[in-house]
Amino acid sequence: MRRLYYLSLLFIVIVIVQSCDIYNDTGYEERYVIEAYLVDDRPLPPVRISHTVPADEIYRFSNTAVAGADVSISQLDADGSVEQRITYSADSAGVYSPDQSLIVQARHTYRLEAQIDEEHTVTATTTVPNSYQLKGTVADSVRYQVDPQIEIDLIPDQPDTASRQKQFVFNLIAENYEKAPLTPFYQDQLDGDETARSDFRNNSSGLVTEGNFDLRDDGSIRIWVPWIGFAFYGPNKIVTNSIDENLYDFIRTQGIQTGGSTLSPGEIPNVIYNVDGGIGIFASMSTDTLSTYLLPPPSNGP
Amino acid sequence: MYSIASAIQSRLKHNRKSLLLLFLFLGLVVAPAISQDSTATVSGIVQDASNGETLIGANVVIRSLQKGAATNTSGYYTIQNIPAGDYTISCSYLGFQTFEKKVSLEADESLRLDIPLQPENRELGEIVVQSERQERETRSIGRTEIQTQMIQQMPSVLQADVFRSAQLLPGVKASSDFSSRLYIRGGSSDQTLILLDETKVYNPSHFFGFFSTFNPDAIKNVRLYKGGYPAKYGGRLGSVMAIYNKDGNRKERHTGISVGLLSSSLIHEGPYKYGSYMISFRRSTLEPLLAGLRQTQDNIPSKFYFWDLNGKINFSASQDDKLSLSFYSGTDNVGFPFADDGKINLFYGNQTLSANWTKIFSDKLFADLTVTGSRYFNEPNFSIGGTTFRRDNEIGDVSVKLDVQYFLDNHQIETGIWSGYMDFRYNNYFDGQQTFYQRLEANYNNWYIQDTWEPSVRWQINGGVRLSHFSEGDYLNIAPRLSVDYQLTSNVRMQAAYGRYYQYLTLVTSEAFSGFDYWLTSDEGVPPAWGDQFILGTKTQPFEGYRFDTEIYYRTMRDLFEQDPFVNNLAGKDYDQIFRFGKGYAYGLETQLQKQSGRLTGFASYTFSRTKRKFPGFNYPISDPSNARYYPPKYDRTHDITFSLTYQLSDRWEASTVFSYATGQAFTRPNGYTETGAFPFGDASRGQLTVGKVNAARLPPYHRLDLSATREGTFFGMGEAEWKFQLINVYSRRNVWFYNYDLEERPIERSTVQMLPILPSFTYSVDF
Repeated sequence: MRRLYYLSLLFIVIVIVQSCDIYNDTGYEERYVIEAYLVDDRPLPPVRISHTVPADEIYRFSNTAVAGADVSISQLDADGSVEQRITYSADSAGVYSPDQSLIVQARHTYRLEAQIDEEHTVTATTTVPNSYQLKGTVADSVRYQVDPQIEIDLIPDQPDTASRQKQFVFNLIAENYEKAPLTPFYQDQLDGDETARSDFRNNSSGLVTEGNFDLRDDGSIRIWVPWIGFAFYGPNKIVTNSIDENLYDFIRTQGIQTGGSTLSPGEIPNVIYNVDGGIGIFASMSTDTLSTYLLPPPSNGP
Repeated sequence: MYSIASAIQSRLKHNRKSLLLLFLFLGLVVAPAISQDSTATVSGIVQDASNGETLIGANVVIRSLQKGAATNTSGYYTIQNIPAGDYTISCSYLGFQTFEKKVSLEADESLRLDIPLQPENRELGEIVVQSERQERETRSIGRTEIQTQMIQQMPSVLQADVFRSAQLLPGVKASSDFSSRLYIRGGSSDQTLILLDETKVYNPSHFFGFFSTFNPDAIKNVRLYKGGYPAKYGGRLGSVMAIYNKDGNRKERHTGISVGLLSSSLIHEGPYKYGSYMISFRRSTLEPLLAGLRQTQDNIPSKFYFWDLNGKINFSASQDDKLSLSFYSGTDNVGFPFADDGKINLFYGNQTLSANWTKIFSDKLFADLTVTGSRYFNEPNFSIGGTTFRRDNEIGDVSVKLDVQYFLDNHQIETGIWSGYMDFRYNNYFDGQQTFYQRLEANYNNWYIQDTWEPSVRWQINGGVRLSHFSEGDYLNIAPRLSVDYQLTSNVRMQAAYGRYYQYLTLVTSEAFSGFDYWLTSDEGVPPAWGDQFILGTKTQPFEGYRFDTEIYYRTMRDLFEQDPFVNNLAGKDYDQIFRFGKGYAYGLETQLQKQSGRLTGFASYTFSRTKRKFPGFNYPISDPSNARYYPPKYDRTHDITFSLTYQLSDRWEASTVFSYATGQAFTRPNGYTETGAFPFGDASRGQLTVGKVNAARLPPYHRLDLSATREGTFFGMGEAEWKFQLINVYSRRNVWFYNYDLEERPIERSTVQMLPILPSFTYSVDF
C-alpha cells in the first residue's frame, strides 16, 4: 500500500512537471509573401504578392495572389530619407508593375512597402551590391576537364567598402540545351530519373563567397569556374551575380530546410526573410556575363 | 555559487602556477605526514583466479569491524586502522565465489594479501550476495558498471556492442537504430568523455556509426558515470564512460575466434615470463557479399571495410610495480560511386596508445602514471562532375596523467594532474583550392583533488575540486564537485550530488552517420561550454536479489558552442564566426528494478526526461526574429521503458530478450508553404516551408522486441564453442527515423525514412 502511495505520488509529480513545460506547435498561420529582385543598371522589377497555403494543399500562385494592395518602392539616400518613390499598379492578379521607370543603381538602398489592407503592411529594404565587370582571357572554346579551368577576374566598378564578405552566385546557362550532349554526371542524372534536359539548362552554383577565391590587392577577385557547373557541351553563358544580404540569407537558409546542413534530420527552421509584416524576398544584385564553348574530352568526340 | 566560483577564478588567473604547486604539495606531502601507524593495515590486489585479470570494484571487508574497501581501477585495495586481533577477511565480486580468509594482525603490521577470486559455478539459482560496501561502490550516484557478460548476452544488431548495451540503461538514449552514439541525460553525444585505458577516444564508431569500435572480446570492464561524476574526471559537460581493456590471461594461452555476418574477430592472450599480453583483431567481412551485389545492383559501395586492433602487454617489475602498454587502432574506409562521375569517399579512424605505470609506494599510497597518445582523423571527400569537395579534420592529443591515492583513516584522498598538448586541424577544400584552414595547438592542464570521507558507517562524502586550463583563449576554470551518500536503513540509501563541468570541444554532427562528424575546439572568442548538475537518488534492495534504484537530475548547459547550421560555406570566415552560442537545460527521473540472481536475471527501467536548447536566431516566431525559443533536440524522448531479461534454460542454453518503448523523437512539422515565382538563379522555383516551432511535433512511438538464444558446446573436443542466434525487431515494427519532404511535388510530399526491419543474425565463436 505504501509503495502504491509513492508510485502515485511519483506519477502526479511527473504529470505536473510535464504540464509545466509544454511545447506545442502554433499551427498554420497564413502569411503574406512578397517577391522582387532588383538588378543594378536595370529598371525596377515587378513585385509579386501572394499568401502562403497550408502545407498539405496544392500551391498555385494564381490561387494565392493578393490583389488590391498599395505598392511602392522608394529609393533612399544615405540618411534613409526617401529620394524617389515609385508607385506600383496591378499588372495581373498578384503581380504589380512600376508606374514610372527608375533605373536601379549599385550601392543604393531601396524600400518596398506593400499595404495589403488597413491592418497589414509588408515592408523590406535592400542595398544593391557593388557592380562588377567580368574580365578574363576566356578562350572561345575549352575542353571539359582537360583544359585548365576557366579563370575570370571580377573587377569592382568602385572600391567596395562593405565590411561583409562579398557573396556571389554563378549561373551557367546552356544556350543549346535541347540538342547539346550532356556532361557525364548530368547525363547519368537524366538516365536515372524522370528529370528533363531543361532542368539543367540554367545551372546555379549555390552560394560562393569571395573567400573561395583569390582576393587581390586592387580589390579584384580571380575565380575559377568549377567543372560541375557545366551540364551541357556547346555554347554556355557564364553569369556572375553579386548578391545582397537578403538573397544571401534566403539561399543559405532555404537550402537547408530539406537537409544538407549540420541540423538533425527532420529539424526544419524557417527561412530568414528580412521582411517585416510578412515573408518573402526583396533583394538585389549586380550581374555581368561572358560566353564560351565547351568541348567534350577527346575520348567522347572530336 | 557562480559568483564564488568567478571570484576564485579571477584570483587564480593571477596566481595559478603557485597555487597549483601548493595544492600538489599539500596533496602529496602534507597528507602522508599527518598519518598515524598505530594500527594494522591489509592491502593487496584482487584478481580473477582463472586468468589473473585484476578486478575493478571488488569489495574487501572485515565484517566484524564493518570496515572495508573496494578495489580501484588497478585492482588494488587497502583497509586501514585495524586494531590488532583475529579477523576474517572477505572478498566478493559479482559473478565470483566469495573469498574468506582468517588472519591474525599485530599492531603496526602491514599485511599484503593478494586475493584470487574463483569464478562462480554456473549452478542455477545461485544467489550472489553483495555486501553493503560493494553495493555502495557499484551503486554510487550516477554510476553504472556494465558487465561484459551483459554485453555478450543481450541481443544486439549484428554483433555484441558496448555502446548498444549502454543504450539500454535508463537515461541513456540512441538517436536511431543506426547510431551507437550515446545521448545521456539530455546531453548531446559529445558531452560524454570516452576513455579507453585512460586515453581519450574521439570517434569510437564503425560502419557509419552503426556500432562502437570497442571489441567486447577485448574488454574487461566498462564504467559509466551518467552524471555527477567526481573531480577525477573532466572535460565533458555530461558523463564519462571509462573502458578498460583486458590485461591478458596470466594463467594460460587462449585463442578465440568469432565469425559473424558483419565482421569476424580473433583474440589471443596469454602469460609470459614477466606478465601477460592480449591482442585482438576484428575486421569486416562484408566484401564478398558486396562483390556479389555489385553484379546485379547499382549503387553498391566499390570499397567497404573497417578493422580494429587492440593490444595490451603487462610487465610486472615487482610485486608493487606494474607497467603496461596498450594500443588501439581502427579505420573505416568506404568508397561509394553514386553516379557516373560522382563518388563519395569516407575515410576515418582512431589510434590510441597508452603506457601505464602503477606503483604501490606503501599500503597507504598508490600512484598511477599514464602517458597517452590519441589521434582521430576524418577525411570525407566528394567528387561530382570533375569538381572535388574535401574536408579534413584531425586531432592529435598527447598527454601525461598522474593519479595518486592516499588512504588515511576514513579518508581516501586522490589527487592528480592531466596535462597535454592537442594539435587540432580543420580544413575545407573546394575544387582543389583550400577554402578554410584552422590549426590550433593547445596546451591543456588539469589538476584535481578529492576526498572520499566516511565519517561513520552510514555516511560517505566525496568532495573535490578540479582546475582546468586551456591555452587557446587562455581559459582557466574551477569546477567543484560534491556527493553525499547516506545509509538510511539496511536496504535504503539516499544520495545527492552536485558538480560543475566544463567542455572545450564540440562535435559537429547531424546525428545521422558518424562518418561525417568532426570536432571543433574552444579558442579566443569561442569560450568553453559549462554547466551544473544536481542529482538526488535512492538505492534500495526491496527483496533479496532485487534492487530498485531511482535518480532525479537537473542540469544546465551554458555557452554551448556548435557550428552554425546556417553557415554553409566557411570560406573566408574567421574561426569564431562559424559558431553559434546557446544554452540549454535537462531534467529527468530514472528508475530501475534489477534482478541479479537466479535463472531469470535482468532489469526493467523507466525514464522520464526533458531536454531543451536555445540559440539566438533560431526557432523564433517569423514575426519576431529577436525572440529565440527553447526547443527539444531530435534525441529528446519524454518516456522510455526497457525490459531486459536473460533466462538460463539449461547448462548449455540461455535465452535473452530486450523490449524497448520510447516516446517518438522530436521533429518539425511544416505548417505552411510558398514558393518563388521569378527566382533569378536556375529555372526551378524555390519552395519554402513555414513552421511554427522547431521540433514541436513527435514521431510515432518507438518500440522494438529483440530475442537471442545462446548455445554452448565444444569444437570437436579442441575448445569451447558458442552459437548465438538473434532476431532483432521480432515483429518488424517499422519505427520512423525521420520524415523527408519533397518540395517538388504538388502538394509537397512527405516520405518516411524507417529504421531497421526484422533482422536475423548469428555468431559462432570458438575458444581454444
